[in-house]
Amino acid sequence: MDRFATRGMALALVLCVLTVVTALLAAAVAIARVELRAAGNRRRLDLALGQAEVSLVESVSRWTPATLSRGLPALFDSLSFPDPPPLPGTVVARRSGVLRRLGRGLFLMEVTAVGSEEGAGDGIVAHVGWLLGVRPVSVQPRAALTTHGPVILEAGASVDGRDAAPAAFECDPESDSTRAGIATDGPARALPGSSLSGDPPALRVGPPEDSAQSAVQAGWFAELASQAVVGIPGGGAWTTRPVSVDGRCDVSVASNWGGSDGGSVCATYFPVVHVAGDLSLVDGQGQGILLVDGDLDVRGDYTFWGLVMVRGRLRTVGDPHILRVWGAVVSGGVAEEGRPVSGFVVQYSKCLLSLALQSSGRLVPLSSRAWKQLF
Amino acid sequence: MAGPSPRGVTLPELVVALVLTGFVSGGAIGVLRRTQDVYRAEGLRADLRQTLRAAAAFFPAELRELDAGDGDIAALGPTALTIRAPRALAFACRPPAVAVGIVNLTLRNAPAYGTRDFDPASDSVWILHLGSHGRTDSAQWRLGAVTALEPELCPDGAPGRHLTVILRAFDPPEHSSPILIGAPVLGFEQVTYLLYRGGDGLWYVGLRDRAGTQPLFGPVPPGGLAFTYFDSSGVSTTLPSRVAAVEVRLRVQAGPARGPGGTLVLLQDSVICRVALRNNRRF
Repeated sequence: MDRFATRGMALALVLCVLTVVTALLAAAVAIARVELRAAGNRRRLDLALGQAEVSLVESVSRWTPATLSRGLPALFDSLSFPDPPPLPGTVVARRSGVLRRLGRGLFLMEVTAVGSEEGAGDGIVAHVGWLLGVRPVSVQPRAALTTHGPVILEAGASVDGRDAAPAAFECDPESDSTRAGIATDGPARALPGSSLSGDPPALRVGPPEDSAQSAVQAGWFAELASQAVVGIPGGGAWTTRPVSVDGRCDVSVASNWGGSDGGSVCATYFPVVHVAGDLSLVDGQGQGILLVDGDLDVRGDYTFWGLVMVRGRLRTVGDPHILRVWGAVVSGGVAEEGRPVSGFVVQYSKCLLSLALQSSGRLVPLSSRAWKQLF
Repeated sequence: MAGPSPRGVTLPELVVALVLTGFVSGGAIGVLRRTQDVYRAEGLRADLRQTLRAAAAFFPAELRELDAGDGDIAALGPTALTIRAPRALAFACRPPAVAVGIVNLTLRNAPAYGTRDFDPASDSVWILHLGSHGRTDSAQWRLGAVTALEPELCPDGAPGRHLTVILRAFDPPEHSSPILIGAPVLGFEQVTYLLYRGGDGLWYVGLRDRAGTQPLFGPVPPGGLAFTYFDSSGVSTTLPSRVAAVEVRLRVQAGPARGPGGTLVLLQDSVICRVALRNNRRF
């Protein structure tokens, strides 16, 4: 008789049990893997969101309205800014951002952060943004022309402290924003044929107040100069005009100080220009903030929209010559001491001043509804 | 003679064999049934966790962007929360034509963000009015209701759409500064997240909007959703305008599934998430 004849079911039973146990184990492992991956994804999402929010805060301080006046001269311009590469490790977050100009002083900063683990696929993306505004340097000139010493306006010269703006800028003059015409520590008068207006037309500033005001103006100058995006050595003669290339404002040209001549592509470009010495303006136009460490001579026909601050004297030289400023002028003196000034038109404009100053200061989130989760 | 016995099986042998087969089969069926129960329970647990994960992602995404101080929390309660839920963000590409109380906006299609586009049937908008001379430090958001949306090109030829908005009538006059190119327009709809009993008698976490109430998560046990509200100092509050953080406690259930003792039980799991509102005014 064959003693190996199989009449029992042990093998079948063992195989059956092994199959069931294996299936159970496989199911448990599969569920555990799914749970682990889901938990990992959740962790990566939290990581990405946290990193994105941190990146927003970090990135805001990297930019100033002044640098963005060059980086994003036109509406809806955008630039990308990658974060440093992630640190090597098990959990990393790649970050990158985009900054967009929405208005003169309005920006959208977007940050994308990717929470991932090395070798673990594409990672989880968090995309958040901040609507940013500008907190400008607080420059509040007392007059259309704030200066030192006597000022005598000759025929054709005009200084007006009443708020006004050119139509091209779509400004709304405010009824309560009239300034003095001239604020100075010396006498100010207008000869026949010239014009001096404001509230009051001429404001005589006494020595203590004058020195305090001078200190304040020096503070404005230093703060604005530290934010200059166009730096020019002293002693040069300049003709400045808007320059465009392929329909875009070419902000790389040092003699492009914005303006609307030849189209409007540079109309939104308001640079902060700092001249380290004397400056001669031959002809043309510009806008923004012009800071001159030395004297400013105007030798032709020049128009500026914004704020002009001159540490030395401001003169118009030659014939013909005319300087038109919409905004405000702060200078250490006008013309040669005791000589009348001609070819000089200053129109106070709170709007132009405000537009120019939105290229200064720092970026801050809007006080309401600044944070956005971007989908 | 060698070889298999030609004899058959006796009745007792057959009975014993049948009994043994019965025992073995019964045991095998029991193991299979238990395996099936385990499979089913694990599947239900996986569903529960997935539901909780979805809820843990959903509620923070809906709540983070709120500005409670500006009325984004319309009503609050322990099991219901009514909010202005953000839906879209776009930017004006031309100065809007403003009639009496009506603004005709042209919005760029890109950049634009949101979970969906503006919906005239349900959406309202916040429009940013900059301060005088475009200053952002005195900017104000103005509220309006969307009444129409249709395609329209921007002045530079970029694709866009035309949005007709009826402004809220009782804005104070200082909000009447112009809307400039680039002005952000935030679309939102008012929705309520609540605990409610469905037509099948079960409890659900639902979304109530203009279209009615629809289930989001569930079924949940009675009391399966609880909102708690905290102010900026971390103290519980019931004033909508003072809410700085919202805690959402969600318990979901599934089943029944057979428990360890063989009894049928409902499986439950829960999640707690606390969401800080990012847009409350800081200064």
